Amino acid sequence: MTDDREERFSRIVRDHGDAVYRYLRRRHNGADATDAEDLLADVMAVAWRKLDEIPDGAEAPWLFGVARHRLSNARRRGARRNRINATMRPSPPAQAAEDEAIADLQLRAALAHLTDKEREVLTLSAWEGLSPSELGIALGISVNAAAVRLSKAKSRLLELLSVDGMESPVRAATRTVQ
Amino acid sequence: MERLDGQDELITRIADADPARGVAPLSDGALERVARTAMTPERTPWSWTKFRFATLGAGAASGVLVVAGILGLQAAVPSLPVLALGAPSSAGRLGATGENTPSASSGNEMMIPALRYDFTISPSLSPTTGPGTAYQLVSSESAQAAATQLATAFDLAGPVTSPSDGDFQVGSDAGPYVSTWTSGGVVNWSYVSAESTATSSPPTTSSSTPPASGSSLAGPLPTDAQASAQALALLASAGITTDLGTPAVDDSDPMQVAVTVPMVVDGQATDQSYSVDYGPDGTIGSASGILAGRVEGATYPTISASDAVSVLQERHGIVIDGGVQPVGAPVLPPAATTSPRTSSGSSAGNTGNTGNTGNTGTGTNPVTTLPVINVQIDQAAQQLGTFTLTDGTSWLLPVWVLSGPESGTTITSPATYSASVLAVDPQYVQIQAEPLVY
Repeated sequence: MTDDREERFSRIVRDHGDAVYRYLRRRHNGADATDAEDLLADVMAVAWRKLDEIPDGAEAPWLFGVARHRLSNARRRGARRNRINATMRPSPPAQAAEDEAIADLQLRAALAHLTDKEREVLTLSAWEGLSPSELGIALGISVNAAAVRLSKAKSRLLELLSVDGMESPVRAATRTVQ
Repeated sequence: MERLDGQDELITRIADADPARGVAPLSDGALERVARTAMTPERTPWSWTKFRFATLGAGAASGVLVVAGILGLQAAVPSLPVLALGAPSSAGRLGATGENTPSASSGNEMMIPALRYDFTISPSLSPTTGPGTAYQLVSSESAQAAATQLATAFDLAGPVTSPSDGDFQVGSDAGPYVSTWTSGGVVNWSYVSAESTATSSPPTTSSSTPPASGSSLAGPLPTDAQASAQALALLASAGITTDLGTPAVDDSDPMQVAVTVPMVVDGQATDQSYSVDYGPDGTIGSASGILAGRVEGATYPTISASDAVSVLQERHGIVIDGGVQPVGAPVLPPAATTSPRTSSGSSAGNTGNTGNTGNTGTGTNPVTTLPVINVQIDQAAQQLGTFTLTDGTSWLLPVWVLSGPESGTTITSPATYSASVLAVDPQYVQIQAEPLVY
């Protein structure tokens, strides 16, 4: 039994570790490779403890759900004490890394004006490639609710992208540093 | 994994903006370390490349262990205090969630199916040993008083509140606010601006409202020199003027300039630093650091860099608590059971097994079946790392920061191994922790 657990856990880490790592790199503000690895280790520690609760065939969305929860709490606390290595080293501000990093500034500006829930469902779909059923697992909601949330988020994002002047502040800022 | 139906233009556009597009995949070795760390019972997560000794915050938060009788007070070493390092207790850990997660069963002799690290030492590493001084980090005021002091530095007004036990804050949760707390006997602080919190919060305006024009995004970022000077001035206004190294500036982000001011003690680098991030118009986006002085403690004999590599070999590349072997019969494979902490009085701190002696493993995981990662340690630097002792105090102790390239059949892309090993002679160090089975 123990060997089975370990074998399954090792397989989960091997098969999904990199995807969760990327999820964390995309979203954890200021995350370098080490930060993301540390967070990944924390996510996997939860997975190891709750291995029996992870649904077969839905390991990835389950892991994204755990990672999402970890990040959400870290952002809410907003300080380095919430980083996976609770040392006295400073940490970057509590804000979404995806907002910092994505290259499409107009898109970035629009994403920044979505709610966290809207942004998360969109990026889980686009970056992690989750289906509605997988979104439901990752977000802890029903499949229908996930589909509806995704649809609304897309509509909202399109609406924001169509607003005149949406990107102007960002562009202005970009000009100043170029 | 099935893709979402209707991969429309919008989703494609978001996908094209994937911030992790250029991120190299995790190496097999990194994944293996993640697995092993996750399966390690009741240890705080730790870092392989930044020597963030996880016992620091977690140890204080979880109530550090008291080493019974400070077992190492042997007659052979009467003149120097033994450093009793605390391992995280079963009370859970205070990690990324801020919640106390359920403990794995204490003392669970968990099998850790893993790969095998084999370390070699570059001839360029020095075999010499030398003294290393310990410094205690001490905060002279409470976290509550520090909140008031820091609020002044950040030009924040308002009462000091306590959002949760042990946390103090001036300002609202929406920002800007400064918060303080005590970890390992040391006051920590962070500042978050309103804009930083707004980035991850739902908008308060209607869904179709565009961002306000004339926001601070329109202003120019400070130059590197300006940001450095402003960061030092800010720290000075908070009363932080000593042990500051040369600021390092990261201006790669078009939206902010990040300044890191390292703590340097008597010319030695440490793992402590202060950070201040500036946005457009030189506004502070966030900042953090500690509010503590340091008191010079005893000077200990240290092990050499090559001995530190021996610790890596003995600990199979997994360095927790600086590589100090736990008190109380740690369960190690036969080839690695040589105790590093004998009463021989060796100031060199010979930590035992150094060769690739063929760890036979235990149980159903014979080492002969494990993939091998070869690491040649070719870089070694001694500096100061932060540890929490079992009495709840925090110390800067000498560490060896070791690194070198990984190679082996499971390494599919260039990877670098890095770890920190406590440099204090092991006979002056004790730790209490659950035994591990490798």
